[in-house]
Formats: sequence, C-alpha cells, structure tokens
Amino acid sequence: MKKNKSKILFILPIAIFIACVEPFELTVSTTESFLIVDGSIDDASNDQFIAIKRFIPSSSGSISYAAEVGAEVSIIKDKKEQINCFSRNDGYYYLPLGFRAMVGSKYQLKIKLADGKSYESSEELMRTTPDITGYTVKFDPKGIKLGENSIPGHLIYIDTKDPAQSGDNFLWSWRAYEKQIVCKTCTGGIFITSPAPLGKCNPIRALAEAGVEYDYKCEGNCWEILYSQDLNVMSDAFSKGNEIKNRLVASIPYYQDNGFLIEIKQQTVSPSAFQYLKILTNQSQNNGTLVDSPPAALIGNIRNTNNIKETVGGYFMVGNSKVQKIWVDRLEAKGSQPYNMLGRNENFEPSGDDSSRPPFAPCVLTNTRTPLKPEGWPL
Amino acid sequence: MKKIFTLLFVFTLIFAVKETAAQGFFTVSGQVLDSLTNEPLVGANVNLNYGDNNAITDKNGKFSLVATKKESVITVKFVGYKPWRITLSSNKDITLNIKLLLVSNDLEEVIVSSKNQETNIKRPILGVNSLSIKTLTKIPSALGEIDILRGLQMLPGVTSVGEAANGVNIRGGATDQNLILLDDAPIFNPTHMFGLFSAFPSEAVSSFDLYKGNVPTRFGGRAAAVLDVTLANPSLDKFKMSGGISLVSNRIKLDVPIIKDKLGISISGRGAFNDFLLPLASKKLDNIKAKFGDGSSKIFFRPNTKNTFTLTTYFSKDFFQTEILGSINEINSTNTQYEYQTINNTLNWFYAINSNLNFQTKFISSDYAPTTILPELNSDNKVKIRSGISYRQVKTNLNYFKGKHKLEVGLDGIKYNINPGELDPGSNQNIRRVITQQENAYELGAYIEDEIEFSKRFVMTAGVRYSQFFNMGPGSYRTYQEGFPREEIALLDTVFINKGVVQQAFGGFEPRVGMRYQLDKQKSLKFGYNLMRQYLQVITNTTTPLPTSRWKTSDLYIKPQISSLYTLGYFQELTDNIYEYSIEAYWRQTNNIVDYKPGADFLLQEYPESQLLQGKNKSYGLEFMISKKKGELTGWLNYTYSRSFNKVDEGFGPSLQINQGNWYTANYDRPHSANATMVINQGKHHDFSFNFTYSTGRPFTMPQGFILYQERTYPFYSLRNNARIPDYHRLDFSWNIYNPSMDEAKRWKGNWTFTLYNLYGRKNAYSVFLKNQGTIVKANKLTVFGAPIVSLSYNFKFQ
Repeated sequence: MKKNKSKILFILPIAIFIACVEPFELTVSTTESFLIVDGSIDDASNDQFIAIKRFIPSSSGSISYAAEVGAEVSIIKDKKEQINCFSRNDGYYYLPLGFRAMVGSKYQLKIKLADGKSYESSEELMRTTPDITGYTVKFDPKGIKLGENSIPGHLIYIDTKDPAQSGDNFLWSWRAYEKQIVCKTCTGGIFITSPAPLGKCNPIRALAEAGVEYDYKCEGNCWEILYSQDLNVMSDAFSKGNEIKNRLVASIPYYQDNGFLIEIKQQTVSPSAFQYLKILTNQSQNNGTLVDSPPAALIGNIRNTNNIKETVGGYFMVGNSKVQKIWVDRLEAKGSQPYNMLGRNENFEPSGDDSSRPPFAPCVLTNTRTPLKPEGWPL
Repeated sequence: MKKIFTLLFVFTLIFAVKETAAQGFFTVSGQVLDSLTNEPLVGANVNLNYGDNNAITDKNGKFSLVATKKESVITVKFVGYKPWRITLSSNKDITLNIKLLLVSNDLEEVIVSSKNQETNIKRPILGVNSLSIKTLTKIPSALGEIDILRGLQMLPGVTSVGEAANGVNIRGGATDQNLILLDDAPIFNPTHMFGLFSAFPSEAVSSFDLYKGNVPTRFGGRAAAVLDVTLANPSLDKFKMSGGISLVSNRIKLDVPIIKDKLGISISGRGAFNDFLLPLASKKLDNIKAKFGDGSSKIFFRPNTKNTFTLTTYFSKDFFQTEILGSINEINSTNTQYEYQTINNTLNWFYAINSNLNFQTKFISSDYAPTTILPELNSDNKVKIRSGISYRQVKTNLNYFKGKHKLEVGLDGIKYNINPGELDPGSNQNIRRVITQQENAYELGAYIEDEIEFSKRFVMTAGVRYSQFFNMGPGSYRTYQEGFPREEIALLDTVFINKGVVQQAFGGFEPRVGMRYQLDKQKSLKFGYNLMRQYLQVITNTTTPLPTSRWKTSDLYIKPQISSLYTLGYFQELTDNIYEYSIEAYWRQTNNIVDYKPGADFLLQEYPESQLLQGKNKSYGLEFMISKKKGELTGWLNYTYSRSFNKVDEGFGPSLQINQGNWYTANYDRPHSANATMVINQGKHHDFSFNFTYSTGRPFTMPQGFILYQERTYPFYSLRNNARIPDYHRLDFSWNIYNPSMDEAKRWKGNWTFTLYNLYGRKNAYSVFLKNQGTIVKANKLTVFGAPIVSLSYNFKFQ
C-alpha cells in the first residue's frame, strides 16, 4: 500500500470535450421556384416598399432571386381604402411617399402578378408599441463572440413596459453611427482623386507584389453606419402587463475610443408574425446547439387565392415603431484594446516629397456611410 | 550422423551455457502440460523474447532454452490452448512447470449471456443482451469513464443521435420509449453532463440486461425496450474498498459487512468537480461549468434462509452552464444553468416459501427534479423554472418452478405526480409567476408468464400483462371543434374535474410470446412477439431531449403509444462454444407516436396538445452478430440494417400533417451500422482493446430554397429530414494494466487504464445546420469529440 501511494500522484491530462462548430461543404440543391414577398410597413420610415421576387432553384447551391416585374400591388386599409404601390425598380413596389401606417388600423396586402396569379395576405392589425423606458449600457471585455474568440464590446439592454393585454410581441433592431477616419483602402495601389468626385485606386505593380494595402483618411467628417444583423424577438408570455427589464438588444464591438450613437427601434408585431420570426430566428441564428429544434416549415401569411397549396415565402408585417437614441461615450472602455474595424491597424500611405500625397478620400453617402452629422450626435 | 551432430551441438551449447553462465547466460527448461489432465503436450512452441530463441517440446513435453538477457519473456503456444507468457528476471538456470489451459475450458470473456448459465442458443427469449461490467471495463470508453450507455451502443440495434445524445434509440424507438431501471426504480434522465456520461454508478453496478426483443411481462410502461441495471449486493464477509480517479471523476465504493453472512452495506459515490480545469484547456470554455455527482447505497439483510431484504438508495445531481444548449428567449438573463437531481429508493423483500416457490414484494420511489436557472443582470436574483416527477410503485410477484414450468405472476401499481413546470421569478416582480397544472395518474398492471419446456428442443415463454391507466383530477382540459387543429381558434370549452375523478382511462392486454426451437445442439431458431403500451412520454422538439424536457401522461388528446414487435432469430454456436453467430430480424409498428408542430414550444405550456400531433412509426431491421467468447482474442462484430419511419396525418395542412402526411425518416434513422470490439488478452497483467463503430449519418433537414426578410437571405424549409449528415465512424483504443506491482498477495491492487478515444481524430458531425452569419448563410457542422482524446485513469481495489 505504501508503494502504491506514489503512483496516484499523476497529472491529469487536460483534454476535455470541446464541441466545436466549423464550416461544412454543403450543396443545397433546390428544385422548386416559389414567390417571395418581403414587406413590412410601419409609421417611422418615409419611403416604404414591398419587394416581390422569385427564388430561382439551382442544382449547384447558388442563391439567386428574380424580380417579379409588372405586378399590381396594393394595400387595403381596414377593408376599405386601397393604396396602390408603384414600381420604381424591378421587383420593388413603393408605397406613396410619406405613407405611414396608423395604429389601430388593419392592413392587407394584395398582389396580382403579370401572369395573372393573385395573392393576398391575412389582415394585420397595427398595435401600439410602448416606449423604451430605460436602458443600461455595459462594457464587457469579452462581450461579443466572433467565431472562436471573444472581442470587447458594449452591450445595450433596454427596459420597456408591456401593455396590459396579452399577446404583445416585440421586435428590436438598431442602427449605430460612429466616426470613420478611413474612407478608402487601396490594395496593391494608391488612391488618386480623379475622376472626381469619387476618385479611384491606381494599381502599382510593386505594391501589388508586396501585398501592400494603403488606407486614406476621410475628407471632412464621416460616419460609419452599422446595422443590427440579428433578429431579436420576444413574446410577453411571462411578463403580461409588467415591465420588461434588461433585454439585450445590441452588442457593439469596441472599434475605437470615440463614442457612438445608437438608434434602437422597438416594434410590436402580431402573434402570427412573432411565430414566423421566432421560427426564422431559431433556424438561422439560435441554432448550432446540441438541442436544436429541427427546422420547420416557415408558414407565412400570404396565399395564392386560387391555390392554397402553392408555396409562398415571406411575410407581410405591420408594426408601430418607437425609437430610442443613446449616446455611448465609451469612457469606461479606456485601456482596453480596441478591435479594429478593418481587422488590422490602419496603414496610411506614407507622405513623401510630393506634398500632394497622400490625398484625402471623399466620404460618399451610402447605406453604410454618411458625411451628414446624424441627428443626436452630441459633438 | 545427424544425431551425432545434434548431440555435439547440444553438448557444445550446454558447455557454452555452463561456460558463459557467469557472463549472464542461463538456461530455461521445463515441461508443458495440459492444465486439467496433466498430460504432457508434445510439439508446443516455446519462444524466448519473441524470437531470440525457439524450442519445441519433446514427447515428454519438455524443453530447454538458453537465455542471454537478465530479463526475458517466455511465450508458450500450442494449438487449441491459451497462450502462456512469463517475464523472468534471473541469472541462474530456471525450471518451469507450465500448464496450458484448453481454450474451450476457458471462461467466457465477452459475455453476451452472462447472468444466465444458458447460452443464447438455449434461452427461449430473443433480443436480450447482457454485457458484463467486466467487459465494459476492458473496452475503451470516452475520458476513461466506464459507461453503460456507450457500451450498449456497441451492440446491434442500439444507436443514438450522436455523442451528446441524452439516451439511446433501440430498434427504431425514441429515447423515452426505453424503460431504464436501476434496482427496479426508474431513471428518467439516464445521463450526466448532457449525454456525455451515463448516470449509473459504474463502480456499484453488478450487471445489466437490455431487453430489446422479448420483454418479460413483469415490465411495462414503455414501448420499445427495457434496460434493467442491478447494483451489486454488499459483501457479507469481508471489508472491501474499490475506487478510481479519472480525468472526469473520482469514484469510491465501500463494502462493509455488519453481521457476518447476515447484514452488510455497500456505499458508492462518484463526483466530477474538475470543471475548474476547463479554462486551462481552452479560453472558450471559461464560461462553462459542469459538475455532477452520484451515489448509491445498498443494504442487504438476510435474517434467515427464507427471508432477504435489500434497500437501495440512489442519488444523482448535475449542474451545468453552457451556451451549447441554447437559452430561454422570453426571460432576460445573463446565462442559462441547468440543475437536475434524482432520488430513488427500492425496498425489496424476498421470501422463499420453499425451494419451488418464492414471493417478492418491492416498494419503489423515484423523484426527478430538473431546474433551469436564469441569473439576472445586475442582480443577485435568479429566475427558476422547476419541474418534477414523483413516482411511487408497489409491485409483488410470485415465482413457481415445477417440472417443465417456470411460472411468474404479479401485480403492480404506480402513482405519478408530475409538475410540468413552474416559473419562479424570485424577487423579480415583473416576471409573472406561472404554475402549470399538476398531472396525477395511476398505472396498474397484472401479469402472468410461464416458461414451458415442451421438449428438449422446444421451449416457449408465454405471458400476458394487463395494464390500466387513469389520468386523474383535479384539473381541467379543453375541448376543441372537431376536425380543426387543437388551437385557440377552435376552442369550445374548458372542463374542470374534481380531485379523485377520472379524466381519462386507457387500458389493454399486452401479450408477449417467445419460442425457441433447437435444431441441434448448436443451432436454434427463435420467434418472439411483444405488445407494449406506454402512458408516459417526453414531449420535446429537440434532437435529443434536454434533462429539463417535459414528461407528459396520456390524456384526452395524447393517446398511449402502443407498439407491436415481431422478431425472428437464428443462433449458432461453433467450436465448443468459442464462437457464436446470430441473425435477428424485427419488425415494429408503434401507434400514437408523438411528434410536434412547426415552431412548437413546450416551455410552461398549459395546453401541450396544441403543440403536438400523433401518428405512427414503423421500424424494421436485420442484425448480424458474431462473437468470440473465449481465448486470447475475444470480442464481437456486428452489422445492422435498420430503418425507422414516422407518419403523421391528422387532417389537411401543415398544422395537422408532417411532410404532407407521408412517411418520413425518424431523427435517429441510421440504415447501416457496424461495430467491432476486440479485446486482446495479454495474460493476467494487461490487455489491449479496440472499438470500431460505423453508422450512416442521421437525417437532417435541408432547405427547399431561400427567402428574404428585410432584404436579407434566410433558409426556407419544407420537408423534414430530407438529407443526411456525413457518416459516423470512430476507432478507440485502450490499454489496461492490472496490478503492475504483480504482487498477488497484497490486499491493495491498482489498475491503470490508458484510453485513446477517436484514435484517428475524425471530426464526426453531431449536426449540420445553416446559420446566418452577418449577411450570408453558411453551412456548419457541430462536432462533439473532434479530436483524439487521451485519458488515463487509475482504479484500485482493497480487500
């Protein structure tokens, strides 16, 4: 017994179960073409549209859609008023400029395709959305998962008051602005300002061979616009009429020391729209666990009026929006190592004898960038 | 002339040996005999150091060899006998008296029919596998934990959805269709750490039987199979201690005799608290917590030769926090923690009336209580979702043996109280306290079974069980419009029922028949038929049930599952019972299987019928097995072709049909599976073993196309289980070293087990899924054990 005692002294090898997720080669071979309706109307946006496209099947797994051109699209308000949509670009049918859905009204979408087939949605009631009553911003040095790693970020939690009646379902999304100093990156070349106004990257063989990437500072103020990429929905099943506290609605990576402005949009959606979004979320975003619910058929609210068996994808949704703007100065994050938006440190073209170089790059107005100071920017 | 040369050579050799003995040469000589008859074995091969020198035994079984090293290995082999080995350390001449054991006299190593002295050829029932714990300790296991459920998956007809499956699928059955008993008390959640380890205290288990074909009539309540695990009785004459340390857990078992040959107790415990090591292994594990413990005690009391009492207590507790099990969307929390515990008790009184007649009565209780814990942000408060099953059972049976009959009759009664879910918001006043309606039910059973030996060749077991189930008040149920989905829009009324009033009753006979016809001494044909009724099921829509998944009794809308199984088998033994072959075919139909509607949600669901659909399952398979039960190499090889399909068609439309009412593959349908287990016995002190397993990938759902929401692409699904994940295969290796000090006289004996799980590091897919990452949709696979896993465990015995 004495001898054996020493044999128990061994070091446990540290190898333990590590469930890991990795990319998988999968060819999603599809054979059926079907109509897709992507339409949400609200009372916040100025320029609202219904997108009507068709999924194009592919044996190679490529994902493509064809615009449905020449359709007649209208929205029926409270079974009476017909609001016609107009096609501006292929597959996009716009409501009249300035259209705002109204709280308490019911809306139904009607579509007649160029081939004569008719579709309609169920009637959707626009319910009142309560205001966002409070928020918490928390900096977490490992708050955001990025693949296998965690990066620092600000987590934003909101509070709201659930209306007394049951069946309220919330949907959150956000848009954030932060200062951008790099307006152009040239790979294997240098930036020249002509042709105006955008300029272009001029290839230089030596730089290309060396794999050099040069960044160029913005000309004047410039803001990057970031959007929520995750679906975030919640029912009031356990909160009926009470306050909903500390709902995580946004995780903004710590890209830089400067502050950011975030606009959080809160909407209520109907129970069936919630069910649709919940399934969509579970099978595209919350999956990859050991206990996934196998994906289920996504049943939308749009039907072919003559053939209820026809597969139609998409949902016509109506929602009252409440927006909360929050300025986050990022002061408490000072000292942490920022996660660079470029994925690397900036590498500006060095200045040489030519005093005209490096030039500034223009801040071009796009969906993701703006030279116009966002409303609510404090400085 | 030749003789003279040989003599000269031998003389020279002896001379040389004598001459060189002082320089480290010595002679090994001896005699090789049959262990039983003591007859000399002529022509046996005696080998030195695996080929340094060789000798053949002469007509007296004698041999002589010259060894040149201080430490030498002598191997003796002879056809039909177990090889014999010894390591010598000497510089003096040695004489050995070697007795070889005839392979056919050897004890069976791999036990496919262990408890019973009869072999598979003779037993009249089909589809019973009794792996021995001894076998399990030899075959490789993940992370050095001896694991019954993983061991079972090496047998034909037993599969699972993957490495993190919370249960096994037997012959096309769902995990909840298996009745799992530990000393007669049911285990509702058979695993620790979410499927990674079995919940059975391996140190204390003496044997287990898996009934996947003929199920004796004393068992009832589940549709597919019975796993009957028995804890060892305590030693009544000697204090014993055994235990072990592995990467995952530490184990100990004590046997304490209190009154010699009358009263004793055994206590075992196992604990896994090594999760503090996880962050050291990988940074991404720093948010994972995983602890478990289980313990059992068994008191054995035999006051006289007629009466025996045993009292078994089993306790098990798990706690873990991980992101790989998802979260609860409707409650805002910083993470999700799972905690669950089982407390079981079995009191057994055995009374031998005479040598032909005995009587047994058992009182059983089982309490299973899972909790989901949701810690809140900036607060000490934890929101908890609790549920629980309380199970009380009394069963009594009479066994009578006379002539050609073995008769068993019995009665049993079970009382269920189920708490389907209770939301406790703690100090958070904004979260609604939810208490779902308790379920109360009784399940009563009466059975009779006789094993009749009509002739030496033909034996039959025939029995019938009658089971009756009562779903009781107090409570309420909803009524819905006929022909409509059971949803809010079709709601007609809510009916209230008082305490003690029967809400719904079900019942019926469960005939069970097994026949064996022996074609000759070594061949037999068997046939079996089983009908089983199941009144309690797990309702879940996840790949494998969570420990917190809800158990639901049958009611007005959820009809009992009824399964009919037909089996046919052919068994053959070869070469003095060294080899055994078998082929078994089965066909099963189960009515009223439970499946779920798209997007079903069972969490604290007051009306689960609104989320469920019922249909039928058909499963069939062909199982081939060959096992070698004796000799230096033992093991088995099996191949199974099996299918399992469901059909759910309650009406028209996606709320009433699955896959448009057509047959679709069950989640665990794996058409081809093959397993090989090989143990290479290297004498008393060590052995090697290998496991190889292969199975077709299980089904998953591939999108039918893609759709857009807010200009972003999402996968669009239609038909369930229309594709398969890649095939699964894995090779494991283990090396057991027994008592390395080789001192047989010592009371303390230590064994080491080195295991390499997933030897070639295949990244087997547990699941394949499409996920939106940013603006694009990517296919991913989830792997549980994606690399070779090395583990070392130390086990000891003190007696």
